[in-house]
Amino acid sequence: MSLVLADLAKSWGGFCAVDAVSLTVPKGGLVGIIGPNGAGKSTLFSLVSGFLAPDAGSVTLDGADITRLAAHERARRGMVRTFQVPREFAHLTVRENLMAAVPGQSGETLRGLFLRPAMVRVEEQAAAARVADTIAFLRLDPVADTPAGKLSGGQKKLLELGRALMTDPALILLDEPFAGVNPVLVEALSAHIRALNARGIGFLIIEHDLPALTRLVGDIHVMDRGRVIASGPPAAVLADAAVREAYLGGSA
Amino acid sequence: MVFWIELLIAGLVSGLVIGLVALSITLVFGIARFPNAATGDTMTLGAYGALAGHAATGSMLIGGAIGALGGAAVGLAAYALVFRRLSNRSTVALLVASIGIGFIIRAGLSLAFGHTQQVFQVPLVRPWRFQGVRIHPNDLRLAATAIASLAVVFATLYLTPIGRRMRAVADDPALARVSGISPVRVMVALWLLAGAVAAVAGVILGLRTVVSPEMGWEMLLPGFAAAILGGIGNPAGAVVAGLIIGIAQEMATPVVGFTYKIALSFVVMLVVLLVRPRGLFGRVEGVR
Repeated sequence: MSLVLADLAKSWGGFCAVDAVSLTVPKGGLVGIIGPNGAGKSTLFSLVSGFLAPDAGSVTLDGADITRLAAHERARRGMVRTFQVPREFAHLTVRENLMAAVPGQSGETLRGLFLRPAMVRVEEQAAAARVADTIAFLRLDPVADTPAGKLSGGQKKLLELGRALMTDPALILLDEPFAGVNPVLVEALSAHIRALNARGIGFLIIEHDLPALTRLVGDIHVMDRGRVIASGPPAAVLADAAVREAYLGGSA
Repeated sequence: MVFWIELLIAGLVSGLVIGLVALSITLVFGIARFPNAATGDTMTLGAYGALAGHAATGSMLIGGAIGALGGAAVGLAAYALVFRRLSNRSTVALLVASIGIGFIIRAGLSLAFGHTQQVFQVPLVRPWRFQGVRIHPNDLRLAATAIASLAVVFATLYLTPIGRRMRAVADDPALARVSGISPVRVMVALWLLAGAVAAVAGVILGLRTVVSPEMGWEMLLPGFAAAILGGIGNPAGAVVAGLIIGIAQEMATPVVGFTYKIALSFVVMLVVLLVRPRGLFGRVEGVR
């Protein structure tokens, strides 16, 4: 599933958080976004995932304009996001967190529940099997029946990835998946992402951990003050003078 | 002793009624995030629906079902016509709107059924006696109805796909949306359930006492007291707290007198808010 952003823009009062950003994630691509804090990366994700309406520009998914679509409808179309600070359904167990995200269930309405109980049961069993697979894949077995609010930060990151996977995504937007995660788990998460990418799932990843990101992605876009200032393979982009200015000049 | 046991039994039955009301309030608060002041009048509507259904068919079962369906329909209509449009507004706006909806329901019922108290025309049954303790077969039937209704709601919440999604929205609505959970489907289920639960409480109360346009409005205070005592947004807490308040009210009657028993809920509510705002079983994280 290809994602095309064309001239996306969003301002808050006079401040231009995202300024005419255009970029493409090809089908099955693995693309990174870097940039200093306040560069507009998370705002960009909110525009793409339907949390904010852009002032201008368009979001196109597989050729269909989804700029005006609600967040849950974008998820249904196969594009799902995670959050910078991991979020979870705190009172639901890990298993229930994943079950809640399985799409297309007849039991999603009271009508379906009462009129087609047999079908609901069959679908629940299928969903439970998929959830069990995902729990095993992410090695969350020991906490499968623990309320998600009680998990460690790293486990919550894994759960976020798991919940994203349950929606049958073709494209996953990861917002700082490695932030606050210990180095061992960073490697494990990267391996999960590579394995999923090999199955054809595309990724667009915001990340501050440059070494981990550059090992993972094929292309990088650098954002600064709301604009994309450089794009291309990691090695070339990181050698770029403007990028060095934005990163090193900003902090030095 | 016999006297106190009879009070305890009466307290349990009225506690179940309060628990149902509190469950309706706490579900709406947890998922739609505002205190629904129309809960009491939805109750009243359920009682009148059952009264009319019973008068028309002669069957209390059909009457009760009509009452519950009426409550579900009113809940859904209130959502579709008002609350859905106000969903991005402040809690206060929604609260005020719900007070308005309550007034509309009450006025409509007064207009349709008159202002005088009515009673269900059911045959009087002689109470059973166990060791001198009087137990009314009707009370048992009503308690069983309440418990069955509670079982349906809890099974829906904890064992079904839609229930899981309702609890997910209660925990984090934004995360629910990115997980592909349709907010409208969850809200429709919420309002159908919350309306039906409140109406069942009304039917039970109406059968035990009398049916009047103000009956539900007067139950709002104990209902909210129980929802707060149980930890607002916590369904099981609401039911347990309802039982506690119901029993406390009945047991206090000989001491403080009938007129003041309602004040007890107010005292409970104040004490909880001042001393332990999370309620007995706490659930503040679920509520912003």
